[in-house]
Amino acid sequence: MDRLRTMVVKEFQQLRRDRRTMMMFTMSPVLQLIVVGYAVSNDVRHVPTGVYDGDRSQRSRALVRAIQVGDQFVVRYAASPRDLPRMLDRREAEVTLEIPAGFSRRLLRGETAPLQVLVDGSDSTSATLAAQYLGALLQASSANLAVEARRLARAPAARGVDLQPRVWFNPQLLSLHFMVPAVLALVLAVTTTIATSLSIVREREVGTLEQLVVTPLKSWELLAGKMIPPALLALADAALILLVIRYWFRVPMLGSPALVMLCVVGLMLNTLGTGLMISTISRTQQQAQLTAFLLINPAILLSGFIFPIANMPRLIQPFTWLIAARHFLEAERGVFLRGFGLADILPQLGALLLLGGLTFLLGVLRFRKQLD
Amino acid sequence: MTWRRLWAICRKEWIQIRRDPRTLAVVWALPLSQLILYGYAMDFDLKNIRIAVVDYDRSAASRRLLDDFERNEHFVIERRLERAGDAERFVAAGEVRQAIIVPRGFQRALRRDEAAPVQVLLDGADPITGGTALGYTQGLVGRFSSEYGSMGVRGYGGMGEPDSRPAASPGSAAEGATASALPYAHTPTLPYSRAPALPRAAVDIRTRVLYNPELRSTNFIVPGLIAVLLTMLAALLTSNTVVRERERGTFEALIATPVRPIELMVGKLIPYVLLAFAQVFLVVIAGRVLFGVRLQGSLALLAGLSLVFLLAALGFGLLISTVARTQQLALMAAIMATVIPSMLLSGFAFPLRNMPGVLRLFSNVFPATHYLVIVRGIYLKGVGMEVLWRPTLVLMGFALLLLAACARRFRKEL
Repeated sequence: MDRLRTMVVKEFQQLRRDRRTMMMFTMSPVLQLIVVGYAVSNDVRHVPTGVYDGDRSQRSRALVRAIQVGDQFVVRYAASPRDLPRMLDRREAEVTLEIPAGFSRRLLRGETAPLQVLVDGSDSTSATLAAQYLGALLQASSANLAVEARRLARAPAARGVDLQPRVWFNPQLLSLHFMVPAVLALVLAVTTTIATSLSIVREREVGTLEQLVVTPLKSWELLAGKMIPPALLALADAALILLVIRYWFRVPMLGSPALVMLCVVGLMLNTLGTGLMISTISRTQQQAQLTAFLLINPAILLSGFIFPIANMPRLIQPFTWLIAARHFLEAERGVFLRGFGLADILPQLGALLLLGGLTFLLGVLRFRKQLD
Repeated sequence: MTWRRLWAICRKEWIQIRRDPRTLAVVWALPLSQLILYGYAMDFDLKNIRIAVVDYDRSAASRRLLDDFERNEHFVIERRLERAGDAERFVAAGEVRQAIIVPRGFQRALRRDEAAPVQVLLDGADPITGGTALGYTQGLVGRFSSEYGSMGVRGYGGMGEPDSRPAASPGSAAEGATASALPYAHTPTLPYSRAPALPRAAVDIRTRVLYNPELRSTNFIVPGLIAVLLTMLAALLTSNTVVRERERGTFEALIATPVRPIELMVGKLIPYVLLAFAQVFLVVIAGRVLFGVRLQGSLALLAGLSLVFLLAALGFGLLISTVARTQQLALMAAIMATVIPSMLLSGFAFPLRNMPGVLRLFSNVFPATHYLVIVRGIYLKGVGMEVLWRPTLVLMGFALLLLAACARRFRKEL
């Protein structure tokens, strides 16, 4: 125990003096929270919208006003309908609306009045969403116009199916609530994996690993000493991030924070193990870093962090089971948004434990073999 | 600047690249592997959404509605349940994404032209999938209600003309028609509150999608990936060139030679420009072969502007390399400064307009943001310089600025 303590103290001292690693532990949570909290959003807001109003009537103006309510669409008028496609070309608009002459007259006569919407499909995700919103807004406001028209024509208004959606867990469907909790996984993956692998490879590069080996330190003490400091730092990071998510971004946490921390520990088992693995296959710090980068990047992508796993090709989906972050995110988002309890996340915790245990075991075996 | 010295530096750098298997691996494996990974994994088109249904009405109309769900390619009916409470349990456990509950009296209400309520219980934890599922549901139900109406179960005595045509479909139906066409459907007014029962509107919204008519998300992702991959590649390639020499002590040896700073800098850059430039074509070809993404505009223009961008991106890596004291730090800085910004702050996956003003201003600092406009413009819109002159000028400015900064740092150290 004494030896282990000495080792941990030595590692902490090295960490403290290593400004870079400390930077990583402090900057990476801050940066990622900012980016994910503020930049990662597919919500429809401030969509530049080109409008040509050929009708120039009170009703067509009411229609344009209707799409300007709220901060979803920012309207820019075009001088002629021919300018609308050009606005799309120049990215001055993502969607355009053309109200042809005679729009309100036809509407009041009870005829079908066409509206032309152009969509910039090159930005398929955001622009199509915007077109969807625009369509619904136009539909709702023109429905009012139609009601008026029918009243004038003394016709009854039919109703059809009234869809009543109830949205659970994230009633406003905010991307923020889904994305921000995932920052925990990102930060842990980046900090602990890289810190562990680098601190081992550095000793090897500098040649001090041999010195450590000839001390009475047992190999498990050496490894534990290497991992405890980054693990503690990462835990502190995680706790801090949780507070920011809860109180700065105001994401409601339905489950218990202790459970989230349990998930964090489970994921950390994996990230530390991966760091150890990487250190055994890298000769230089640079190699270790590149390998970590090349591993973390696809792991994050395949974890369902941004893109739903259900959308991935069938062939790829089974591979996501091998990715610890996937299980972590399932459990953590469950605890956060659905109020999952321990019983609900047992399968995920089990998977984290299994995967983490295997990586760790492999890493330790390889490491010991290299020491001999 | 003499060509002989420049050439010597180029050759030395080239030999070093060739002998470093990791760098070569990065050059050849990174773009292709990432292209494949992202191209396949970043798909917003949802299929097989698992749903549960509860039919209290047990009428011809309710069966027809649920059959529509059954037949729809986006939905799989996982459970047919007796009670709404069971459906709630399945949604809560995450076993199904949404539940459709048809209350008693559905058919009667439809026949009487009253609002016939249908409840949807949606798991919104994942807003992307949830919103998409809701969009599809609205589309489907909208189509159902327009077809049911136009089947003449009950027409409009007297007026007849306006609403009997399918073109003048009911409110939610026209919206539905859009929903079925758009892969990432997600309708605004509905998620937040109970949607009002829209009366039949006589408006026919004709939506035309330009540039990417089938709205395939790969058409959008793959060109964007060119920008992301080149940014990462460029920074990874050059970020360690100078600092490596310094760490190994060969930098002093270089200083002792008659090579001038500018020759050293340009000479170091040229091999990487060539390597990265080859990647542009590799990705263009791979995008065509693997994902069927066609280049609408001119390849020559794309190549030329990519070269400008590469100068900026590689210059950035080189600058990191002259500033960083160790290779490790350089690599870390390169990754930090390129991966997240080029993927998340450039407009690659998430629109810039959603960011707060400060962050949006900040996004202009990254060359990838401007290059993305160029790549997508040429690739999908087929536009030329008349539209792209602005981002091009910005990139040129970046390239000049970064290279000047590098040269300055070089001189100082010497």
